[in-house]
Amino acid sequence: MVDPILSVRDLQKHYGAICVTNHVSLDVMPGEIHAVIGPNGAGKTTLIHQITGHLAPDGGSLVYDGQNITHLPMQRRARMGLVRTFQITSIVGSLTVLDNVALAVQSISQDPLNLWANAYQDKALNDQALVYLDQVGLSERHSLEARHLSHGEKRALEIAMALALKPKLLLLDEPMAGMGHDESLRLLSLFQQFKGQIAMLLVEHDMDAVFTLADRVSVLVDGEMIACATPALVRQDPRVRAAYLGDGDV
Amino acid sequence: MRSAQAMVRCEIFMSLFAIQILNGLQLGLLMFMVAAGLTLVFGVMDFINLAHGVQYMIGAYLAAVMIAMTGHYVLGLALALIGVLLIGLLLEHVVFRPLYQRSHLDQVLATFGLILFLNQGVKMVFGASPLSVPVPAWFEGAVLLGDGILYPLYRFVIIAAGLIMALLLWLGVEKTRIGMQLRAGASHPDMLSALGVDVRKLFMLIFALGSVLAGFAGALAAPILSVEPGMGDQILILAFVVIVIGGIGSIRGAFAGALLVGLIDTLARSYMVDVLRLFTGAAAARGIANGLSSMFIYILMAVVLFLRPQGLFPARGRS
Amino acid sequence: MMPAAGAAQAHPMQGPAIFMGCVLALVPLASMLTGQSHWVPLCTQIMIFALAALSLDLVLGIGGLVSFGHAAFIGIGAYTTGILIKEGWGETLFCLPLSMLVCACFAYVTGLVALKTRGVTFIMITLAFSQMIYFAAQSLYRYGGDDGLTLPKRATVLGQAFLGNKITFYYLTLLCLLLCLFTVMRIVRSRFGRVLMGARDNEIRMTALGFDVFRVRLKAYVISGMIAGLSGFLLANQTEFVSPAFASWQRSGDLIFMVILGGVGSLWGAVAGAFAFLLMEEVLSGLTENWKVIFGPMIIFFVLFTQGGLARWIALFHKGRGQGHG
Repeated sequence: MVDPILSVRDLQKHYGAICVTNHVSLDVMPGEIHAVIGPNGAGKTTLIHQITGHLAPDGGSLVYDGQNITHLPMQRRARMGLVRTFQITSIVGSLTVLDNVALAVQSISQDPLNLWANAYQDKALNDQALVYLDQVGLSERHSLEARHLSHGEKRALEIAMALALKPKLLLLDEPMAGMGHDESLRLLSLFQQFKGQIAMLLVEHDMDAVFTLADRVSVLVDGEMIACATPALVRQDPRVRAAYLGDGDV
Repeated sequence: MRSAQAMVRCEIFMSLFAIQILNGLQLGLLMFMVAAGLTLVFGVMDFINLAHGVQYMIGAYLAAVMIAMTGHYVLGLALALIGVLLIGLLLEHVVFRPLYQRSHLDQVLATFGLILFLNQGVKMVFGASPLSVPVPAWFEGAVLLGDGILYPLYRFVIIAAGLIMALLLWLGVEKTRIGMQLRAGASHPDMLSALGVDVRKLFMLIFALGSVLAGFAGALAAPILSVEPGMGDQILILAFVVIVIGGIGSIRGAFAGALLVGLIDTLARSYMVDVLRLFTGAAAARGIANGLSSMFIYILMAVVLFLRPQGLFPARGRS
Repeated sequence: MMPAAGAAQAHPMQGPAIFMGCVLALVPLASMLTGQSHWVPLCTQIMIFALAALSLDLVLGIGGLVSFGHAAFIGIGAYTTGILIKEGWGETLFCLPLSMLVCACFAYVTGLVALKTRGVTFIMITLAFSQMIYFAAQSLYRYGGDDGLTLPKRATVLGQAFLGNKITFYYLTLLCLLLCLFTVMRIVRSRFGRVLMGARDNEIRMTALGFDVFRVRLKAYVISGMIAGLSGFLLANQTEFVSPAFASWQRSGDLIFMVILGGVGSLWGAVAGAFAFLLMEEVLSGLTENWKVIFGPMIIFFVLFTQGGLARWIALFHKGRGQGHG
């Protein structure tokens, strides 16, 4: 019996009278791709915020890789391999593409806050960074200032940065949003590559991606988890159809 | 016999204490009038105006000049306030408007330059020595508080004026349409234009209001505080302390913060010397007391910010 | 394939720094040749403020933290030194490290509180802390209070009065300035510096990458405070006088202006900005005693009509030479 890499138990969060996370529980198994879907305002991003440490939950617990991380600060979780990408792409625009990824490599290196040696000419960091850039197809653009990248390229950069942190669990907040067709395909194949090696919790609206990739799908509606099963079963669940899939496309 | 003496001493202490409380209220209400405009400008417009203290100074100087020229208090005061309004609008148009979109750093610097310019300008025109402004005739004299303690009538007038201003502001902000826009702007500034509010007009109104309030405070304070170049600087810093303690963008916070700061500052100053006299000689005590009591406010601010970074009464919606 | 160097912004330009160092090294010679004896003390004083401006540029330009209370460190450094000299403990090898240590402690404690805030609250709280130092200095009855304290002499070095010589003191100050300039440049290009700068531009991203931004900023703030404390030590010795005015908020404002004038984040620009600012002040105050009435509008024009100060103009000039641009 394998332990889940992430175990969310009875998580709660309210803003005044509004309950945005209503006793949510879910498990992510190692190497699994676990999608979270739900209508807008269901509280998916809030859930991600609480799992990563951006927001403190009002109740419940989070266990990651055997450790209780409920009150651990965000940066500690990141260094444990609990890594996220953002709904609105977040990179350091003033640094180059290479430097962005090198920063991630630096974070889990031996001496991440060294005061003396030139970080930009650190061969070890840069070579490693190039490897990740290669994986997402950005190695040609490495010397460009990150703010000059296209939307899709910025997303790819974020993924490279996430990979450089050697994650055990990747939290992806709508990675497909705003991507062109080719870019989406490339991203999909990248995720397929990591299936089995890196667990992924994927918040998405793109149903094609979800049903292609996901091993399991959880459905969040109004802060409540109403279903958690394989894509096929979820597709047929009447409650899910009523709340979410019913009106849209499948 | 002894207990009678003790009782008398106690009564004297209470009377003096009452005076200090009144002084604290008076200072607090003056600061409230300066801080109210500042908190709105900063809360709604996200604009750091270091030159706000200068409005206070201009109010004091114009009042001194107009009252001396016209020989009539109310007329002089009214003219002074009109002058303050005009100067405020001029500054807004020429210096502040280009700065709205700029970073706080740029705003701090530009308004800093404005302070240098206006302080020096006032010095050039009026000279460096303080102007004396007489207490208006109707408000001369003192009021008898129980136990034979006299309190200057004029200071009561200041307290009354401050409370009336606070009430008017409260009514204006809570009960009028414009007040509603102001409150909306203070808690969610970015939403303002999305809601169709004429932001330019609102900003000008806020600026005008703030300038006049500050100028009025300066005019009121003129007879009892010294009217000299640079008098606005210290008030400015105190006003910032007040709005940070009270909560940026919140008039209620400015009121609470101002009273708190006024009372603490006054009480610290009046009792510090006596406390220090227990430990050291009179001259040293006085010398140390001045600096030490000035520090109190800042310690208070640091403590409040540490415990409650958004201030005591943050504008609803902000946190 | 060797990756190209990063954005120029991450690489504070060394060329101008070396150039300035050379020019400054020659000032005493020039002063002797032209007979302008006041150049040496004037430049010494400017270099002291340049050092303080440099320390501010580390937290403001690189870290993105607008500190309106940096004059406090100058004050603390100066008073620590002044008090020690007055009490007969005026040995540089003792005074200097102690001044920097006291500043480090102050920076650490106030940083713990201030760095939990951001934006205007940070500006105000740094202002508040420096006001506390200002008033604390005023309350030092034993050491002159508001009038300040005249020092009997300068600090000794190993018991000798080396610092009394104008030229020696000049070169000591220049040495401190250049050492700190190159040290800070190294720090900025280090892993630590990269995180500090990254946090300026995107704090949440840095935290999400696993960096403790608070600790990094606190460390930078302490380093900055220590350098400013060094300038306080030098100032006390140079003027042989310490006064609460060293820690006034107007001084903090001046420092901010020097940093902006030279170009926020350029480091050598802070030094250049200090020179531009103080030389301008020197020239203007020679013209009229009401020089602030001209200076004030100059600051305003500068803010309204320029973007990025001297360093940006030089960076743009170099852009054509392929050195990249910030």
